Amino acid sequence: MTATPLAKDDLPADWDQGDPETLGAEHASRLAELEAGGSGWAGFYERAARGLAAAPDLAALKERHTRLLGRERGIVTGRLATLGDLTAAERKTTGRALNLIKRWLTELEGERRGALERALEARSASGFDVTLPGRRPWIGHRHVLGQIQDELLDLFHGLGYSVYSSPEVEEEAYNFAKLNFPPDHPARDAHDTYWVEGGHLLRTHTSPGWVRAMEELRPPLKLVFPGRVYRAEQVDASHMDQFHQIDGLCVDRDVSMADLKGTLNMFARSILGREVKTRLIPIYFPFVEPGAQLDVACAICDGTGRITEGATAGRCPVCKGAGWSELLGAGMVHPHVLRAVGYDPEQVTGFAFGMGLERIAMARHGIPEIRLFLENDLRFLEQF
Amino acid sequence: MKLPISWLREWVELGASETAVADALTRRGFYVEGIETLGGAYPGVVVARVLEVSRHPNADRLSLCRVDGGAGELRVVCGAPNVRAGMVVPLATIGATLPGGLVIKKSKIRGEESQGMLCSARELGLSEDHEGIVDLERTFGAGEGGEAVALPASGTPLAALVGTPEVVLEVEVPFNRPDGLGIVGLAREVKAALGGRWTTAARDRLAAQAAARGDFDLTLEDAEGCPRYLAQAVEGVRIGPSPRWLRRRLDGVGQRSINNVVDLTNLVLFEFGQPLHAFDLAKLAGPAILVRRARAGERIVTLDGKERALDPEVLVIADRERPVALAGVMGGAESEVTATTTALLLECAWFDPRRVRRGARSLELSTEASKRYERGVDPEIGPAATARFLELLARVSPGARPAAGRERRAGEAAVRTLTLRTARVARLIGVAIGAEESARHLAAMDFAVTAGDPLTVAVPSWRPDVTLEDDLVEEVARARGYDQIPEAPPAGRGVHAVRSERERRVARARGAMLARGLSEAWTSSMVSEREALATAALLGDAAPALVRLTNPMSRESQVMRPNPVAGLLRACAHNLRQGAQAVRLFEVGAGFRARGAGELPLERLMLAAIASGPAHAHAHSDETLKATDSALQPLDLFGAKGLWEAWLEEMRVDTPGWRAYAAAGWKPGASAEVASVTSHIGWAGSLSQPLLRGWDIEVPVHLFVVLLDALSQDAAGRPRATLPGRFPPVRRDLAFFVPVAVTHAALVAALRGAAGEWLASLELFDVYAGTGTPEGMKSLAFALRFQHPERTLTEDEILKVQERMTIAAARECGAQLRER
Ligand SMILES: [Zn+2]
Repeated sequence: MTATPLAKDDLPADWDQGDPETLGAEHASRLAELEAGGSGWAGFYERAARGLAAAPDLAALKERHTRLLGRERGIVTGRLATLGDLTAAERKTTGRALNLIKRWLTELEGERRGALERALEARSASGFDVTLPGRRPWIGHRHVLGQIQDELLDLFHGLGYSVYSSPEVEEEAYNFAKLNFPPDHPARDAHDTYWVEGGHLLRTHTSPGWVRAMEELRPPLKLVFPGRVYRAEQVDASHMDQFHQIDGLCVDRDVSMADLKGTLNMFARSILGREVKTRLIPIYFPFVEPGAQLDVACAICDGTGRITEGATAGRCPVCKGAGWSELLGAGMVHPHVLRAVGYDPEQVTGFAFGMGLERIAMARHGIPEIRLFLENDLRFLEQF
Repeated sequence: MKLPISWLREWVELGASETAVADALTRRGFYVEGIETLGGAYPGVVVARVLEVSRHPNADRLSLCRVDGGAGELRVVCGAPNVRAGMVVPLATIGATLPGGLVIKKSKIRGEESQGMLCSARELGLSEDHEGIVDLERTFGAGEGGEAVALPASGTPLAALVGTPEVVLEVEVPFNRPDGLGIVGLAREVKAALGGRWTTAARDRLAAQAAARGDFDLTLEDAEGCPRYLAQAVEGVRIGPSPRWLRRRLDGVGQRSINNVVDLTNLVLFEFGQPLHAFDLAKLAGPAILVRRARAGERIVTLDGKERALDPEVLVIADRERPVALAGVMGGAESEVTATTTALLLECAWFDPRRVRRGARSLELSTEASKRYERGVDPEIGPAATARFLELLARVSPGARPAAGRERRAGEAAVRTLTLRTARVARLIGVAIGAEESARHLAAMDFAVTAGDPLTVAVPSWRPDVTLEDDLVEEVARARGYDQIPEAPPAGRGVHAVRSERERRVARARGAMLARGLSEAWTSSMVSEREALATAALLGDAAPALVRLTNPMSRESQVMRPNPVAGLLRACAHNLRQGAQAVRLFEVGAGFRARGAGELPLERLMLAAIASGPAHAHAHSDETLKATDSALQPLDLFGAKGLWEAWLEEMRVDTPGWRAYAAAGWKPGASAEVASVTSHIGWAGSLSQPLLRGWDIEVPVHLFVVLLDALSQDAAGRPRATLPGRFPPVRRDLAFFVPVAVTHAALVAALRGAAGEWLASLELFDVYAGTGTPEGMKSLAFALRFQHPERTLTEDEILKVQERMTIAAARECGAQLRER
């Protein structure tokens, strides 16, 4: 091992061909720094630097870099590996020079490689028509009713409601009698019923789930019941014999209509916006007492049904004068329903509500026909 | 129920506008669906007389009329069949505006000039009648007692004849409020809501009691079906047209005028909610009335002209010989009041709601009367309703006088008394309401209230819906207004929401299909029997236990689907018809299977998916992609299987096993069943063209069906982490010749079994049989990766593992290593 610096001639002469300009502004000061140390490394560095900075192509650059700094046979690397053989004084000056050289050469190599790669990419950039379509995989769309259902279930999840599932083919008792529909009562007329062989029926609402849940569980309860329901109706643009509901049920010691109202309004504001105007009015369902319906004011006429100003004064064209539209049905669980599942109406009270997914989807997306939901036309499904 | 405002004002003293009345009713649970105005100012519409009618020369259905419009003779083209010379009609002159906004202009109709238009009732907004031109003589020509009155001269504005317009509210009456099916009941709600009072006339009418004299032959055989019946004969009756005011009342509630007597029974029905029926007394054998069940084999021709066979479910009104009316539903034609009737028997009865409902159902009849009886007529209103009828009859048929009559009652109905605690009100409504306030609200609805806490409340006879304390709470809440109930923020109440493993699994199943580029379908649960059988057979169920509807709407929807496949194929066919190039759909839903008697069907949660058409949403050929590239081709067997495999992997089904499977409906040799470690989970393959033709599908379709609940054991587990190897893997290719019958799975099992833990992956990259392969053999080539968790493997070690694998493949599969 020797402390003698590597010389210019340890490197091929043709490395000098490069243009000194590419060596950058620091080149002169670097040479000066190596000279100042009196170490005699400046000549070697000068040629090595030129060789890297002016390498004609990536292959040459790689070869030169390996020759200088290759892990196994690089000549600079080799000298660095044997520094330990030198005296302390030699080690100090030589080591300093070698480390500077290694750092600067690494830097130069990186710059040159970047420049060469950029040049190469620029050359190979041909006339690629960026507007040509790509090879595209298919995209799956969640059904619009599923999207609404997810959103509602998320909302109710946040309010503490878990999902409870119950059968679509249901016993008459759960669909009617235990929900306080007396036998031979006209209230059943609103539920045109599909019957199946053996005496069971297709549930006409998701409310039978309340009864099953309450028979199985003890209060306090907070549950939602999503699912498909059936009515034996002729299908047309606004009637379908299968549609989808979500019911909600909350039973505890002291649940009141005030709680119901708070929950319903929070729900309405969440899905229709903070500014939505609602009203709660009485309505009859056999399974709740008192019964209620939540209406939403038409956004255009603010529930008046009329437009009073401007060129379009007259009947509101959006709600056609109705002013309000029904969003959901609700009420306090009827004491007969609580008794039927073995709850004591003096001990617990509960509220419940139910809504149709189709109605919400139609209002929100301007869907004109209820039949579209089960038709599964891809041109429809892919809009959502 | 239609509520004409002028009729309402006859009963309640009221200052409020019709919109305020509508709003008050809606806020009390009587939803007002609409407000319509009957009639109007009719500028330019006049009374006219038709002088002559001749055929339009160019149109068979049109007539040319010479009309005296007061200001001279006009020529008018008319399309109504009932126009005739001498008729007094409404004429819309040039420039007139009709209630619908139509402005009448001079026009030529089929080449003939028309100087105006003769109007129907609908065109004038008088009623829904559009069958012909209004015959003003028929409509307005009867005086108070039925005598003819002269109509005004031609040219008189029609408004002078018609009177002021009628505003009518369309009220949706809740099922539990039969009282709302009468003007009186709605008036009571309005009175309570707006603080009005009964008019003097109203108080008199409600207090009136018709007393039947006791000499008519009346028997209640079925006292359960008919506990109350009042029969009152009236003599000296003259049947004729109804006076204007009576027609106007019936127009207001949408009823057609028939004659003065029938119109009066209808008026009382709509006013009190009490159906009345008038028989022609001379046509009743006896005369006598017997209320009984029909006997098997009995028949009756009802007022609508239909002959009906009766059964003992039906309660009838009979005379000495035969049924003369269906109790509470419809009268009989033979005893109908006609123009020649001079004496009638009035029936005012209370029938059991269930009995009327069963009768109406068994006869498939629903009438204004049956609707009210089914819901429950006020059992105490009969005498007042009868008195009202008799009073009005004397007006429209002067000289009519009550003759024999009798009322029978099988027991007295007890007044229902309830108590109402202030605490219960507060508990249910969520706001404290004092006993006094509650009492005030109930009294306004004519409940008899005794002060205290609890309040003692006697429920009036017209409120069959109020049977519990909570019903009274609703009355108080309604009266106070739901908008006065405070809003409590949703409280936690110690219940938190949980998403079940099943919910999460279903959500993942959907997501994993969406990620494969399949869209979600929601298809009909009801399919045809043919569809059900064909799709059940696909899943190996050749004789499925189907869940059949007993009252299907159509053959297309007669059974509950055994799986969602039929719905997807319907959707596929629909989209292909609409020109879709590719259909990729899945559905998550129940499949139904009937079980034992009385048991509910089994509902199996399934995922079904279909794929047809190109593998990519878009691809085009260019220099890097040959036209034969799979991207441009329809999805093939392996393209589809890849989708399902990727889905199974995303569902974390650990090494699913694929076995050859055959069943009707699949393309032979192109279907499989899939099993997880523990259970059978699904089916996959290509459908046969004969099956697809059942849905008019002509293109290849791939199908995948999974039982989602069968995945639970495998997919639920939480995976254990293993450290990814940090040392570089070594790659090797190995190819084997194996006998043709040896499956890929068998060879892989042998190779993996012998490889040990250093084999990181083993991927098939080539299958080949043909030139160069020995007879009866095929070649399978694999790319292998070996990796050691803690160090770099040596060449020697890898060679040893490969040798073990080769030996095992030879021993277990008869494989021979293919040397290169
Ligand atoms: Zn509006």
